[in-house]
Amino acid sequence: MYIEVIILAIILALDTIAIVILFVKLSRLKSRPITDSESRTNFLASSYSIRKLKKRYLVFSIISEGNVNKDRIQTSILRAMSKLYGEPFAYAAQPTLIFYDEGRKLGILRVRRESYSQLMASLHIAGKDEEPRILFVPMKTTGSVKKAREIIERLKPDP
Amino acid sequence: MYLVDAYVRPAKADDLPAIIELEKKIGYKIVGVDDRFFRHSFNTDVKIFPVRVISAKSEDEAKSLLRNLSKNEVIIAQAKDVGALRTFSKDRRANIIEIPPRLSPYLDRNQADLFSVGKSMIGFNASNLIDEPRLFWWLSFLISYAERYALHMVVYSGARRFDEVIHPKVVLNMLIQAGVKKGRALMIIGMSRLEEILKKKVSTQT
Repeated sequence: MYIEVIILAIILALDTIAIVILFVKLSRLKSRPITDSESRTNFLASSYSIRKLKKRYLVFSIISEGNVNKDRIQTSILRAMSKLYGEPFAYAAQPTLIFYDEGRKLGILRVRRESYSQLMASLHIAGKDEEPRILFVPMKTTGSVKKAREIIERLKPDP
Repeated sequence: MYLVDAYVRPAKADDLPAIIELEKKIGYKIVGVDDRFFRHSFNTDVKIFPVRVISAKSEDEAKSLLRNLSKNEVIIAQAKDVGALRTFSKDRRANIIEIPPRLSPYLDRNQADLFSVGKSMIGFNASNLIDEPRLFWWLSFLISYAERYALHMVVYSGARRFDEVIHPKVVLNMLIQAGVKKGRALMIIGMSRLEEILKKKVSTQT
């Protein structure tokens, strides 16, 4: 008889603790202001340990007959992904040119990790819709921009 | 296993050295060149072999084309009609067969048996994707068909200019996106079946 009462008391106590923790978390979620630098997604990820969205950095070189600027590369990648997978997917993949050296024709593209394979598949048709046509040559893929920059610095400059 | 680009078709003869140099730079060891340009000599480490493309709109035309073939060339047969497709696929002289999307209703088990009889491979020209990106679904379809009936598949650049050359990593990811597992995609890029055919061709020459 006494043992049953003790078990019931323990269960009630645990339930109360769980409810209190949940209540505290919810109140923090409502009360904490979201700053400009911290997006709502990041805040939620830190509060409820949602997996952070990871990126991949693709070091690439381009081969073309004329000079190509940053905007042309950015738009051609986005357009190629839109053609193969549709605009919603292309924008969700967030392919972004974060570095481009016009002299050496080397650059770094950032993309969401889940969409890396789609980006690579669409490189074949990217930059072919207007002159000068571009050939993207993927060189190396890294998980951090620091490593990607190191690779670019390590590559020999063209003679 | 070597990286093989089974077919390049330059628009002008002057473009060919640039294409071959680029293929070498990005890692290809063996390149198939359209037979119209094959006679030009190059100083390059890349091994090149002649490829002839034939195209037929009917069974009779396909048969007459197959009769006049040289044994030294790898043959890519473009079937424009179901009769031509059946003739090409059961004939051992046609090594790679390109199939247009409108013949998809005829790709069934019987057709797969014909491919097995002819020991031919299903080919996909990646330069078609540049003009028509929607053909990506067709690549997926062909790959699933080849996987289902254990047929060989080839993806080649068909480059007309140096900027149409396709990087092996891009081919790999394209195949993965089309529904192949990575290990199988690597086997398709390696093209061991094409190497066998090339060895046979060389042995018949000597």
